[in-house]
Amino acid sequence: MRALLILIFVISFSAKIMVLDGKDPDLNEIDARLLEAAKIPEKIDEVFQDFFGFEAKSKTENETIISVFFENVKEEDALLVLQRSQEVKVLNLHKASIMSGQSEKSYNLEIVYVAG
Amino acid sequence: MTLVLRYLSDETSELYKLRRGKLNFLKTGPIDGLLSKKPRLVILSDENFVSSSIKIDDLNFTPDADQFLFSEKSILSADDVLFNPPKKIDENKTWQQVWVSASKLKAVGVKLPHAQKFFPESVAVENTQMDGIVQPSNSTLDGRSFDIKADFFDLKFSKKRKPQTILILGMIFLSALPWLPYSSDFIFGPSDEIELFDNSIRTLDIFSELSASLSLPDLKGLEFNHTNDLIRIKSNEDFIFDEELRSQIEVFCETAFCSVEFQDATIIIRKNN
Repeated sequence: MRALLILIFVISFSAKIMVLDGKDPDLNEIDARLLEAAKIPEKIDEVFQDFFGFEAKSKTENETIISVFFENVKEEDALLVLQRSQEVKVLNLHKASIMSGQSEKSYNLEIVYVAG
Repeated sequence: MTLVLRYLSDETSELYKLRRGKLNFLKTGPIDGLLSKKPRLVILSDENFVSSSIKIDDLNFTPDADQFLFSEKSILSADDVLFNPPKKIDENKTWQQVWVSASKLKAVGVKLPHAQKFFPESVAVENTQMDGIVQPSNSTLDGRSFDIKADFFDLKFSKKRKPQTILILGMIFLSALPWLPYSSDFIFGPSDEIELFDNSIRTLDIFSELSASLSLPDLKGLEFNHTNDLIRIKSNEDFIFDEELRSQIEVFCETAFCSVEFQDATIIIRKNN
């Protein structure tokens, strides 16, 4: 009886540990880097730049709204940025805007994420 | 001050005061007359329980605490037996065990509502027989030592089951503990769960289909608002939406489960939920 109870106890704890381990998300590179950059805000531009492949400038408001700006991006690249912006999972994508840029067929982009 | 009642019968019982492990006789009388003092400890006189012993050599095993050695000897039914663990008596090399009728003890317990522990006299009280001289049955226990730590009968008949029940309930509780709300953080530490979002923009697909099927005006701006599930398409201000383009977009939205709104040079397409 006691052995059975101890077995149930061990199984219960092991199962809980496995469930907790299973919850660890398999984050992709951008998400992992964004989580790291959350501790070092100066690095966030670099993270977005590496991920999108274009010069990016970001602005953070109230530590929750993160706006990422891309300037004078070609039409085909603008769509690529738009597509890639959806791959981020640790931030909630709120808005993606494409506006005419300075030159013809070039666009400025603003991607707005919300944290938490 | 601890009061101890020695139960002989309903008509005759004795009340003692326990001081420094010794019983001090206070008074005797019928049980009803002694209840006002609310004694919690009861000594069962030898007439109220059964005691027997068996030679150690006659047993070829060491009995467990929950083992009744005299089931064949006892005239009580198995369900009615309440027994204490076998006690090894080194002096005469025997296993001694005492037992009582559970129903009888229960009947006594009803008359003693404050009693918690029932001690067999021969187990808890020192030397009821002095040097082989049998004491008169009416002699009191005045001045004798009383071992409050001796084995006793539990009125609730759960003395032996109690620790096991506590163990079982404890283990079940511990087993369930990690699954109780908020408890895993205390046991395993904060889990720091990361909230993940589904950032796939349905409106982007709608726009792709729309732009592929229609000749849209020269774009000045395009906004995909994921939170509000809308697309805002801004055209150059000099562009005029003709009726044909409007109706084409409306027809598209009917099939693509979206609604459309025209504001000057802006088309707002909302995804229908």
